[in-house]
Amino acid sequence: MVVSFYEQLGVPESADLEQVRAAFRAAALRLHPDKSYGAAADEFVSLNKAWQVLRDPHLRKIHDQQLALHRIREPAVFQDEVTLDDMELTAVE
Amino acid sequence: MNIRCEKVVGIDLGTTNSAVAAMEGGKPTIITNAEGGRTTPSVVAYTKTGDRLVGQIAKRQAVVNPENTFFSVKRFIGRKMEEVRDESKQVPYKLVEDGARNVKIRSSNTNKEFAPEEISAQVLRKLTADAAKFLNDKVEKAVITVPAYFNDSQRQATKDAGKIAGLEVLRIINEPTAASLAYGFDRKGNETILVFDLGGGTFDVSVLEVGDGVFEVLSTSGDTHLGGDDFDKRITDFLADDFQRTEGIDLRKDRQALQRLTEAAEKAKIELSALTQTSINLPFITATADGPKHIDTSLTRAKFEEMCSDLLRRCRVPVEQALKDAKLNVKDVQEIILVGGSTRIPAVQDIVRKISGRDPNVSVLAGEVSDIVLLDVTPLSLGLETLGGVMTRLIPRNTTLPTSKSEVFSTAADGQTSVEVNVLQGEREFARDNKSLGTFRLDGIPPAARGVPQVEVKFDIDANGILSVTATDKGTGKKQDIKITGASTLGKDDVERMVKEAEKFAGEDKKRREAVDTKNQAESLVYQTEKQLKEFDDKLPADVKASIEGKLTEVRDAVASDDAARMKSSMEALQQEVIKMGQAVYGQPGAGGAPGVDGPSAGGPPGNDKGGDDVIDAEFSDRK
Repeated sequence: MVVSFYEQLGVPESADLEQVRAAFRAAALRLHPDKSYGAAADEFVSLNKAWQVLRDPHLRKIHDQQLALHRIREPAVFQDEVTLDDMELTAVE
Repeated sequence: MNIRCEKVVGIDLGTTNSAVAAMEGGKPTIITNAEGGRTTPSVVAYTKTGDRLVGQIAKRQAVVNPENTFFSVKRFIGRKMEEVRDESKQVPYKLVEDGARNVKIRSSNTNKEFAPEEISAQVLRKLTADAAKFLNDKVEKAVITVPAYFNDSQRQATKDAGKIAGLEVLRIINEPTAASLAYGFDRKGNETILVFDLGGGTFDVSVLEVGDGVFEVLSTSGDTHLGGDDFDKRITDFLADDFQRTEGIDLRKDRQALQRLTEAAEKAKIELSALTQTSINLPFITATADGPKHIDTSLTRAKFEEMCSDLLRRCRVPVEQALKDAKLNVKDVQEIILVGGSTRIPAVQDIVRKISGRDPNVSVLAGEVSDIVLLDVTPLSLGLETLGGVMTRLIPRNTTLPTSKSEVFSTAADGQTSVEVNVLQGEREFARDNKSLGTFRLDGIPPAARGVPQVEVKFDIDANGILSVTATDKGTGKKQDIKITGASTLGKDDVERMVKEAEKFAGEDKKRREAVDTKNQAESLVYQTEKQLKEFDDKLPADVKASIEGKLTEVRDAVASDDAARMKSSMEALQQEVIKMGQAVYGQPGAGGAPGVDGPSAGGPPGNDKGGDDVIDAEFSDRK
């Protein structure tokens, strides 16, 4: 399972550093243990992990590659269950 | 949600001086202490009679009571004796090693050994008592700042000190991070700042990114053995060496002389921040067969800087390290903030200028604290001792807090039921070169073949930078017991005992203070009454005078007996009589005017006067 750090921070994958930063800061103001009184400590820890990756151009690239790889594999995994609708959708694309 | 229903104070528990701040009308305000100062010396002393002195009064008597005046205790908090060999030689009081090789402070006047936590607790207690008086409110919760480079033990010990002082420590905040608040309140955008905090005993550097109310520490570095005291020591050594050369006496061996030298050195250092030359005069520093000896010399700023050149050089290292860890160049830093008394030294400012190529900002506390959050980092890597005495890193330094990491442990022998883990903090390769936070022992592992039991140990570092460890048996899902040994912090029982002791002492102190207050009141009442008796001698009826004098004697006797309850009751009795005196004097029309003229016409009022007397007498006998 690959977790999308973009999804965690609620930003599009095209977001620039400033957008990611703003999203992280807004979330930190809500979820840091000082603000949530420990209730969201784990949530903050994973949020922070996402930010540490996305703020670093090198780590972000690796994460992008992981996500891309995941997406390539995903259809393969679910191939058995592809329905007619899906096939049409793929065909349109 | 907000927890501002009670007063929370922020305490800067410094090596040499401490300060308290509180929010007053949405703005941070520095609280003045009972003596009217904005800072309180972090000094605790025990007098020959066993009285405890804290703050300015303790500092003032340090020269005459060097072995029982404890300062710079912050250098010893949460430390093992072997970690502070050098520092222990720099203080005139005695340090001893306890059974766990932790530092204890010996007080000859009370014949007791104190943990550094207890001494710091005394300072905290005074600070909060003064704050409570200032704010006219209870103060039970506090945020305490510590050097960013403090390790887990030092943080835990500081928190324990707060507990011993009867405080709930809501948060431990790193000093440079706290300092950055003063600067970055109103920054909307994004700025990178470097805080250069050279205090009395420690040096911290933090690189932060500030904006939108988020203060995010990118890296922190420092030197827990570098501060203003080291600069003082250079001057002290210079004076002592000089004296030894000319007189053949080592003043450092004489605790009282050393204390005077140290004070003179600090004064000279401060003066050299404003002047290029200062004179040092210490008359009667010691005596030989030839008679008294004096120190009378001068010191130039250039000479001082030369003496301290290696200390100044050492200031560069953490700055470079912090920048490197933040993956930044000095050009990326928009602002440099100087914090701590030692940054007033011109040579220190020069160093900062040289490193950064710009003028530093001397920050002023301003702005409104509203919606902010501090994201601090752990200053030191956390790891475990593994095979061959190597440290295996679990959480690297400069990881944003809070953070956690799990590790699975197993047994090395068949049927083994416990596993010991040595938890370390530091950057060195080998376990022995790092700080051991203690040995964590996992007990009660079900006997099985080696390698089969799987115990998951979770290391949590909270926002305060304090570690907690939990363990679960992965097979049974059961929580495992952890016993910690060899930590340089106090055990839970010790802390609780100290809390109780401190409370007891606080109670005794309060009683003693009340007794002193009562005595003062009694003495002043005696004085006032005597004065008035003399003043109104000719106007007072003889019976009033006699009864006042009688009561006066009672109060005097009570004062002599040192019995607070007796003082109080006799004072009340005297006060009643004094009221009578007032009535006798003011009851006469035109009191204080020309007595000769008013005398006859006073015929009517004396009747009233008498009536008044009766009432009071009745009331008085009632009391009896």
